[in-house]
Parts: sequence; C-alpha cells; structure tokens
Amino acid sequence: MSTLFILAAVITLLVLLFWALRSPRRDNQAGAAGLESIEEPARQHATYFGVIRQVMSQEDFEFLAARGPGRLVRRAHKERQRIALLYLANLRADFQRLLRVAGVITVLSPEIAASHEFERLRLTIRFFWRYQTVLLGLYAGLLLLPQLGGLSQMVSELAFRMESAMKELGERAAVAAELASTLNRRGLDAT
Amino acid sequence: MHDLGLFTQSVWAVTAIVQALFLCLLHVRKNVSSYPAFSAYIFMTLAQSGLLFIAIKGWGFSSTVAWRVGWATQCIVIGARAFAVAELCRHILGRFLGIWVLARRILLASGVVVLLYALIAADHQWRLVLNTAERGLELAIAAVVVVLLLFARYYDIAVTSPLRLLAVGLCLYSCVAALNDAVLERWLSTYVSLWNVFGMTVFLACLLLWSWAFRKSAPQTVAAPLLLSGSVYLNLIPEVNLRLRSLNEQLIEFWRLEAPRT
Repeated sequence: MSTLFILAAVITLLVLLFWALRSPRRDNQAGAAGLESIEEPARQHATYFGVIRQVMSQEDFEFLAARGPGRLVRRAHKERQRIALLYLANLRADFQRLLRVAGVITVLSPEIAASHEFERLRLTIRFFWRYQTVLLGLYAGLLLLPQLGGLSQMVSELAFRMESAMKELGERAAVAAELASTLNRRGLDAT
Repeated sequence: MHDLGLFTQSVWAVTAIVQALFLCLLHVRKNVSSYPAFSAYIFMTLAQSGLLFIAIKGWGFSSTVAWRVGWATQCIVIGARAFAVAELCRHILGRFLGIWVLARRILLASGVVVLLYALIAADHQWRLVLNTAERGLELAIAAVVVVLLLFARYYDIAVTSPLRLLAVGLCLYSCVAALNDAVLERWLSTYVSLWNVFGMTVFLACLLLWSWAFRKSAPQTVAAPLLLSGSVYLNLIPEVNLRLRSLNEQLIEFWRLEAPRT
C-alpha cells in the first residue's frame, strides 16, 4: 500500500510540476490586454446589445419556426448557438481580465487577506468548471437553442452591472493609473 | 569498497568530482552569497561523500559504522536541502510582502501535511523508521516546491531560469529519492546496489542541471517592487470578487432558463 501511495504521490507531483512550469500566458490570451482595456469589453458588448437582443428575441424565433422553411430555422438555430458561444467566450475573457487585475493588486499589496484569496480561487475553479459544462451542454444540444432567448435579458443585466462597476472603478482613477503603469512595467519577475 | 561494485564506484567518483566543480562554480560566479543555503547543501553532500568513503573504506559497506555515518549525514543533508528549498521560496516570493506572508503559511502547511501523511501511510513499520522518515521528508520537499511553482503561476509571478532549474532539480531529486526509498523498503535485499546507482545517477543529473543554471552570476541586489498602499487591496479586491461572483452567476443562469416549447 505504502509503495503504491508513494508512486501515486510522485506521479501527481510530477504532473503538477510539469503543469506549473508551462508558459503561463499561453492559455490566457484573453487577459493579455491588461488593465488598460478593462473597460473595453463592457463597451464592446454594450454596442451590440440591441442587435443581440433582436437576434435572441423569442417572438422572432417563434415566428420563424411557424412560417419559415426548415432550412432557415436550422440556420437560425446555428446562428443562435454561435452567438451563445461568443457570449460565453466574452464572459470568460471578462473573468480572466478581472483575475489578472486582482492578481496584480494582490502581488503588489503589502498585506492581503487569505479569505479573499481563497474566495477568488474557489470562484475561479467554479467558473471554469461551469464554463466547460455549459460549453459541453451547448455542443451536445442539452441546452436547447430556444433557451438562449433569455440571453438578451442576461446580457442586459450584465451590461448594467459592468457599467456600474466601471463607474466605481473610474472614481479610483489614480489607483487605476498606478496599476496600469505597474502592469506596463511588469516587473514581477523573481531573480 | 569491493562490495559496491566497479560501476557504482565510478558513478560515485564522477559525482564527487562534479560536486566539487559545482561548488567552485558557485564560488567563482559569486552565487554563494546569493544562495548560501543551497551552497551549504551542496557542500554537505560533498562532505557526506567523503565521510561515507572513509567509513566504507575503513569498516566495509555493510558495517554498522558505515550505516550510522550514512544515516547521520543523510539527516543533515536532508535538513540542508529543506533550508535550500526555503531559500528558493524566499527568492521567488520574498519580495512580494503580502503574498509571502500567505505563501509561507501555505507552503509550511502543505509540507507538514505531506510529511505526516507519508509517515502515517507507512503503517508503523518501525524497523524502517529512518527510511520512512526520509521518504516523508523527500515527499514534503517535493510538495513544497510544486506548491511554490503553482503559487507563482497563479499570481503570474515570473520565475527566472536559474530558479526554475533549481526548483526542478530539487523536486525531481526528492521525487526519485522518495520513490527509491519506497522500492528499497519493499525489495530490500535485492535492490540495494541498484538503489545506490540510481540515486547517484539522478543526483548527478541534477548537479549538471544546477551547474547549467548557475553558469552565470546572479544579480547581487534586486530592486524591490513598488508596493501599493494597503487600502487599495482592501477596497478593490472585495469588488473584484463580487464581479467574479456575478460572472459565475451568469453561467448558472444558462441552466436555470426555462425552455419554451416551440
């Protein structure tokens, strides 16, 4: 038993070592824009909210299903799926940007609270687990496309929350500028 | 000395030479002052080789004296390696005060947990108590190095090449040593010579890796990062966490939506 335990522990440690040594930025390109562009996603999303709302409108879909040819309905389904995937990708990008901001603040803070850090870790694990589940659901057809009609509501709510948060962050312009310059220097390397 | 076999003796001799050369390299490149604990660890491994050589030459490989010298020096060497790992942690995270305080606790806790678990999992085989303790310490050292690198990755702290190679060498050697001890415990009688050769070969490979890592001098002084005021963290992080939670809720909404029948 002991030998098996040691073997399992060593294999786990080696896998984690390999994972930890991978290039950290390879799977995080969405967050690469940094703090300068933290406000961009909300603005970009907001620009297209009207269009997305129209595309996701339940009435339009019902109308199309009732009168349009089958081929057109299938195409509409596909388009909706594509939009849902794009929306998901944007959620993920927003999440990663926030993580990066939090990371920079934490690394450069003289005092940090373990509770906040563990909460962020927990949220990160949950988010990526749920993200994969939703993605799988979309691809597997478990999430029916008409369900996505509710996305317009979700997107609007998100936009509102993001705008509010951005306003609050904007009030701390001095801090943001300080962070941005720090990020540009990116002097976080250890020697 | 004949008990060891010619091949084992050769690997031992080559390892001792590389150890001595590596110590010279550390001294010439002025890395001793930057990495005193690691230099002390390498010195102690060389001293261990010398003492073991004398003990085996004088009393024989299977003698009680050689066994005692072997384990006594091994305890010191593992302790020195633990200090070298602590030094590595300080080099990577030490400049970031907030992170460092948190990391110290987590690294210490993870090391202690792994050590205790390894000792408990040994099923109280007191005949092999030293072997078990060594294996537990090796696993704890490897776990601390891995958690350290995960920590650096999570906070996006770049680890320079020499430190990465140093960490990889320490972790790999500890993993192999722990595995080697576990196999030794199981097939004690038939495995001793192979255990010696395998352990020495891996250590030799680590020495070469570290020699490559320290081929250049490390900077003697490193500028401390410009830290933010404490209130920034307290004000912004709860907000960021709140927004992360709201993004999480967006994903949950995907499943909560009612599917209208069309």
